[in-house]
Amino acid sequence: MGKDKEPPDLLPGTLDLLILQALVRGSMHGYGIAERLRALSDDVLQVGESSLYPALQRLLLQGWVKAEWGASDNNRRARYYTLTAAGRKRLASEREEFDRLILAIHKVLET
Amino acid sequence: MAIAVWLRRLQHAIRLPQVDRDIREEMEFHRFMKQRAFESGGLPPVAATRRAARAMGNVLLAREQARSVWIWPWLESVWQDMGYAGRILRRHSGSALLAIILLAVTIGLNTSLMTVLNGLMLRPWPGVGHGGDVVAIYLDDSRSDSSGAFHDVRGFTRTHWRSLADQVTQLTPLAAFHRDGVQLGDGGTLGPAGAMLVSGNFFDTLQLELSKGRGFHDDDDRIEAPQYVVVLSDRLWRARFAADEAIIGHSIVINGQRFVVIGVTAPAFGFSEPGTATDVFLPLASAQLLWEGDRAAGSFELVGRLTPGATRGRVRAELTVLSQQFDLRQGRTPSAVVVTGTAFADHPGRTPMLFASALISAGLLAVWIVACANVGNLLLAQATARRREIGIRLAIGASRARVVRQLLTEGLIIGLAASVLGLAIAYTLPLAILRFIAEDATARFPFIVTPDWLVVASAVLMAAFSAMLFGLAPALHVTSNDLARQLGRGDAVAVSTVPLRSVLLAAQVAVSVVLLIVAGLLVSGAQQQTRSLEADFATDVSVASFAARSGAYDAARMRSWTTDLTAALPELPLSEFALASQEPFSRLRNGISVHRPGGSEAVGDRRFASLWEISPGFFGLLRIPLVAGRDLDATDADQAVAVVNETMARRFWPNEDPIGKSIVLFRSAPFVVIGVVRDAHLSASSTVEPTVFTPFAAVRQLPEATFPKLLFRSERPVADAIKRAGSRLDPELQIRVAALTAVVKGNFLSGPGYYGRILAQALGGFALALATVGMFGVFAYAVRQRTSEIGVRMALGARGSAIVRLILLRHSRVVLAGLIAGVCAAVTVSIVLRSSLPGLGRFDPVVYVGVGLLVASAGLAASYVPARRATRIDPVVALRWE
Repeated sequence: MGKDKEPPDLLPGTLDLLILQALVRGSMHGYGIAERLRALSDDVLQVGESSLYPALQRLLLQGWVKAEWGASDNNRRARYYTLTAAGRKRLASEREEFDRLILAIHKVLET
Repeated sequence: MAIAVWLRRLQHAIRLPQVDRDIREEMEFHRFMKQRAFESGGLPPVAATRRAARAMGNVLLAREQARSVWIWPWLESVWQDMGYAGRILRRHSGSALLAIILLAVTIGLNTSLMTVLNGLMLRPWPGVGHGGDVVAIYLDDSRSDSSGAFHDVRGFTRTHWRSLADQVTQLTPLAAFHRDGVQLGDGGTLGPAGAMLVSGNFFDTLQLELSKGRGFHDDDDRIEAPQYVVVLSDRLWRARFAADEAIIGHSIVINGQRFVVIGVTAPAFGFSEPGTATDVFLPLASAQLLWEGDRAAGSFELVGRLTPGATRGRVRAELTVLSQQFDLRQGRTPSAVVVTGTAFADHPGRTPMLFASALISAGLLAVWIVACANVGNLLLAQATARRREIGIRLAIGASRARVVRQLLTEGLIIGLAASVLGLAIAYTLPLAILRFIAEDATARFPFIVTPDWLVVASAVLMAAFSAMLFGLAPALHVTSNDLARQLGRGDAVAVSTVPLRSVLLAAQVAVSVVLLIVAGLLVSGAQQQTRSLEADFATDVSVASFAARSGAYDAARMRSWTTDLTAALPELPLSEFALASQEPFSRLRNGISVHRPGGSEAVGDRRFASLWEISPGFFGLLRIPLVAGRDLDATDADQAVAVVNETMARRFWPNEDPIGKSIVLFRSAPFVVIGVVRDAHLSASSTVEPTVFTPFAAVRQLPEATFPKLLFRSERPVADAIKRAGSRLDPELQIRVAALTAVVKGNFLSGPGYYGRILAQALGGFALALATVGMFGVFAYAVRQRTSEIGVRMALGARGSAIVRLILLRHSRVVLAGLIAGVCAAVTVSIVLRSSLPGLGRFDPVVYVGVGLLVASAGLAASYVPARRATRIDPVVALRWE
């Protein structure tokens, strides 16, 4: 899984949105989040560590997720991230914003 | 929300190492998971590990980016720089400490000077409300004669003041004051005190704060009904009355009269004249209660507060008009009015003092430059020694700006440490110096001598800026992108001396040479003066001086005392004696205005002469020959006759015979000139001034009655006999007997000229010490840099002495260049200053040669240790030196 294809550039802030969405179903560690995003998007969205972990720290800073150390399925220590209430609110508002944006872009492209 | 964010930021910032660990562990887990994914995809474990590691990308970068969410990178880098700089400085602690100390002393001196200037000279009266609006008013008393223009001022008479006060519009009530000495207390507690007699509106005009009671009102100052009221100064209240809280209403004795205390001033009020602190305030009208006669009548100093919108220029214009109208009404020549601020330096006639301060600050600034050059050299040497390390950092990927910033941080730390130390000096030094000059270890001064925040801030800024400035050039030089030179054996080749370092060193040497030469010229100038003093008259006489409590002798008592003494003198075993108002070379200069009878008194026409009151026998005692007319004799006592010296005869009656002519001395009746004596350097100046010699008490208008000095020559020691005779006349008299040459030496060793010389020498010595340290640093560094070259030479057979010569030769060129530059600068400076600094001697080869030798030997001494070190180098070690 090297970098054989240029991953698409995400709009800034979109990564935060994706991570928050990925955590809706439950807590996950960083690797799990990256894998989930990759799986859900059919290998299109491949988030590297250099963007994932800074983004996770940002979300931590803003209080939209919280982090806890726990045991992974093979009993290694891993840090699990959970969505907070504020995070859910943020997810909803970001989602709305994103939809509006996409709609606008669509409209322009349809002409 | 933002607060919560900040709180979280703070929490994490405190636990930053933990945050680091968390992130690292997280990413390690991520890599582990990737590796497991590869393994389960079929790769062998080793290959899986490798691929996982590759797939992780730049973990370090990711970690730093994650971390930078919590703490701003630039902040962290500044912190890193400081830590790093601290470690480096600790390693080179010796030279760093030296640089800090030198810089600190310079900062301390500079700040002390600024503080003293500010507190002493430039601040208006402290303790006065809105001091900037208060102005002092004088009458212009400037005069010019053949030796130049004198700016002087005088005060106003009572009627003059009242006329101005009634009419002026641009000042609020014009207040007047008069300073004098009084006797405070009675019996055992009797002692002198400084008094200020003030008009009733003085306290209101100045908005003086009082800590107790009240100030004066107009009612307290009625000339027809003088009041016995007094206000004490805070200083006197604490010293004499033990801060007695119930002092109001008590009475104290002043000049034998009882005065009631009605107030105490707040501690902040100070008068701008150092050393004449006021102890008591009395109403002007009480002068008649304190002294006989109209003692305070002649000379009031006026002070007023500007009304809103008034400027000093307009006030001056208005007062000049009013004052001149007054003068014309009185039939006197009108004088101009001078309006100044109340700071010490504002008083006209203080300009020489300001000029001296300017000179001193220029000297200190020069020393400052030398110290900064030292710091610069130190930083350069350190940075150059670390070229390899810096080269590696540049190669890894640090930006040049980042490395330069780190180097500058070292300079900054040095600068800050130096400023802290320097401020400690600045807090204690001015007070210590002032107390030393006043020869009173417990004196308190009514002005502030500790730095205020402005001075402190500027000192810190100066230190930081200069350290960084002088660290910038070395930092830029060392980080220049010549990697091959940095990392390679560039040191093996004799790198030509960095011009910057040589320039700095030469500048240091030049500055210290200038300072030392100026100091030397001042000393030689003073010596020239004393040497020229001995020529014209007999100096093998002794002087007896008398002193009594102030106020104990008035004019009448003095006259009778003089007569009694003169009568008692023939009984003493003195071979010759005479009385004179001052002794030769005395600091006291009695100048008096002279003009022809009926001549105008206008300012431009005034001429001045020195006045000596003498008894017959004066000229004989000092072997000053008479060139025309006759000497004073016993019949001339109290007569209006005078003897003049040749200079005066030449100036006042060119081409005429002065004998028989009349002159008016100040406002006296005409004096007839009866004789002319040869010129003699009787005063302490190098030129002879026109001098008038009169019998005692002939000039009646002279205000103060001072004791005459007894000049005599005797075969045997007569000091005791004189003291006994004096005590018989008045047991409370203080009598001192000394040889004239001792007096001269005493004058040479005190006074402003003396302190000026001491200061100049200290500055020069300090600059030389700095330069020597700089030279030492440069030489040591050069030896270190060329170690491998020296090793090669020694391995090829060079002797130690040849090595030493090699090193010294190169650097002596730099020192020589500095020496020559310094001498040229010194010559220029001395020519420029000659006119304004009379103490500066003429071109004295002894001084120049002496300073040259001194600097050369300092250079030799500085190079001794490094040179020795060079010869001890083991060639084998040197060749492997990196």
